[in-house]
Amino acid sequence: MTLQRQVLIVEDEPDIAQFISAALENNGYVSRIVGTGVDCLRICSGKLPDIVILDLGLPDMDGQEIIRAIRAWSKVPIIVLSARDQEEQKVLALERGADDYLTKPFGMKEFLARVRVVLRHVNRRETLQEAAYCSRDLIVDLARRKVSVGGNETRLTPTEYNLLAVLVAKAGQIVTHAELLREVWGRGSEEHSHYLRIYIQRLRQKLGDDPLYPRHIFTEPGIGYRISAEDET
Amino acid sequence: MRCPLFGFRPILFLPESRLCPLKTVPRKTMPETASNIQTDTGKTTLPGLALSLLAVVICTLAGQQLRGIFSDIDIIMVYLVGAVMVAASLGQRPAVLYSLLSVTAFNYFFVEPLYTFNVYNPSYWLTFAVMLLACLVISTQAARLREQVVLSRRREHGARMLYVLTKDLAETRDRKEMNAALLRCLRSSFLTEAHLWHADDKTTLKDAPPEVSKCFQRNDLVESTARTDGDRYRIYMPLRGLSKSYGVLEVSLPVGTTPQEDQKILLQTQAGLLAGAIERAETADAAERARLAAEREKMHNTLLSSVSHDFRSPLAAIAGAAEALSQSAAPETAEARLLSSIRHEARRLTRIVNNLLDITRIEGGHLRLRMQPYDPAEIIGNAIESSRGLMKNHPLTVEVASGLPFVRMDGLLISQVLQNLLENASRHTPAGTQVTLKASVNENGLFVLMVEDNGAGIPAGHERDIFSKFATYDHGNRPKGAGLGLAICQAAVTAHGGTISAENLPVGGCRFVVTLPASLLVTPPAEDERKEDERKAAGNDG
Repeated sequence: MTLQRQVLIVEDEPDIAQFISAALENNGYVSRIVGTGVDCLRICSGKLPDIVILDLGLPDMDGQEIIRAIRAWSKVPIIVLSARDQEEQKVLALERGADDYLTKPFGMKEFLARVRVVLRHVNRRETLQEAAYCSRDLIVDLARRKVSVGGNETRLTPTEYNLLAVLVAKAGQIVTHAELLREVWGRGSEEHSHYLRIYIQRLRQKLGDDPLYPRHIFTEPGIGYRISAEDET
Repeated sequence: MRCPLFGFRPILFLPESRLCPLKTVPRKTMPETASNIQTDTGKTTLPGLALSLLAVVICTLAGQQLRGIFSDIDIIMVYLVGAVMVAASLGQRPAVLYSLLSVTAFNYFFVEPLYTFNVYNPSYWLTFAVMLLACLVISTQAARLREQVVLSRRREHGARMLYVLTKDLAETRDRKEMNAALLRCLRSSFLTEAHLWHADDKTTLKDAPPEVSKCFQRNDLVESTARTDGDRYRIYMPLRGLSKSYGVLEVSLPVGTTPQEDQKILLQTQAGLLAGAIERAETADAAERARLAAEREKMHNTLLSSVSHDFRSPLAAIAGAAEALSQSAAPETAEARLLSSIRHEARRLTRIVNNLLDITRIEGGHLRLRMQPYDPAEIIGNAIESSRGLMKNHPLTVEVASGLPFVRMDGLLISQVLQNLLENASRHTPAGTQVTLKASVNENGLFVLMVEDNGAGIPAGHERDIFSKFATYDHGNRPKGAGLGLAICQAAVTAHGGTISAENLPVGGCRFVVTLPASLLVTPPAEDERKEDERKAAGNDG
């Protein structure tokens, strides 16, 4: 990375904004802190940052409105920070177009990993679609629709493969139940969450992934699933 | 005793009770409230008649004295004055007798021929008739007036009694003072003995005298008439409120008296007033208690929630700052260890604060379950993943029965329950203690989750109260929690319609058992769709 990435931190608690900013700058990012939604939208309407870290509990504006406003003209990645008692807010934020979320308090490592994952997806969008996903012993050949675990090819049904493909397309990022259902089973299937559970269970079986100790597909109760991020190359 | 009609003491002194021959009062004009128990009116008549006879004698003597000075017509006036007097003081019946006697006496003593009942001049018959008519009219009117006065006096007395009672009852919310007010009122108006039987929530007056319990059970007036001369007439009235009866009022009348219908009504009115007052006091007390409880709860929750909100942000900042610093600190140095301890303790405080927030949310009724079918293994997996840091010194074995059905639950909440149970096990047992997590469906079709450890177990007798809020026990020098984790577990499991319990194991250690009702288990869907899917897959590959 030759260019330093610009991070906009939208957080009204100065202490939290301060340490996020410190951690980012230690890792080679440039950050800017604003405390209100109005300032956030003003900056985003000018030169867009590379990524927005958005606290949902701002004093002046509803975080959901900020996401909607930004998404009206930009695909800039948004990572939402939320308090623990806002589960429904998280799902809504993801549905409105946020790329990922973190629940306060969060670890720095986790935070930096999310930022990296989200930025990598932007890179991919900008360049060409990657041909393969590779994480530990799982390899998904997206061009040939082939899946192999530990070198052995695994036969998946079309539904199972589609499900895996949706997760892989956002590797390392959370994908909500509703999004998975919509992408795999089509619009209007969002209510049939038991399909999703059944296919995730089978997919895990075929990938040799133990739901008790998952290595590939992680459960985010009440929100969705996340497949592990690709191995760093 | 003042005479009601004339405002001076009556010419004829009679006991008070005898002044009120109630039975002569026409039914229609019976007062709604009566203030005196009436003795048998038959006893008042004889002296009344004798007195009217005496009045005739007096008027005749007076007429004898006036004879010669005044004419016969004027003597008739003397008799008419007597009629007014008798009617006003003795009532109608003596007045009628007086009228007849006075005409007879006038004839005998003053009309020629004297001292006979014969009449020479036939025009005197007309005089007699007019005199009789005048006497009757005057006496009837006077008697009626007198009755009206007596009635209004009685009415006024009854009304005043009710007013005083109402006022006394309104001024207090104390049951004893209310009872005293009623008894005071009864004593002053009836000269009776009264007794109150109160039924509280526990007693139903079954042990009281038979009439009392009969009255209470029937919720209606019960009377017991005097069987022998010494017996008193007793009335039992229920203290009837809107929703229930509060007891029984027992009134015993003086020996030899019976109550009039209107007096029973007055008694019932008074009993009703007392019941109303008791009901009002109870409602007010209940409302007050509910208001206090709600206020206490609200204050409690506001305090908890504001404290935890104010704690959370600084804690997140402390933990984050320490972590940011530790990235640049050289590993294995004192600096790194101190930073790690700052981070660790900040996280622990955060957990406590989060627990406080959770319990506030659950108890504040803001908990809305988001039930979805889950593979139990993935929720357990999520709980294990989230508890990894806490359990790093406690080996964990997980035994999940094969082929478990999906379970409808709020996945996040049940994962939280498991995390709290694991945290509880790790905090209350020394490092290295084996912890086991089991999941199965038991013989009754309930979904069962268990967390076992082989530590010291729960202090004897505390198997139930460890689930109450802020319950903590001393475990030597290990840090104590806020005592909220298990309370949250209980609230969350109860919200699912399940149960949670704890027991010590015979081999040592303890076991926490969570059960979720069979109705939450989801039967596996038909295989058709999967087969269809498999066929398509085969087609694709072929």
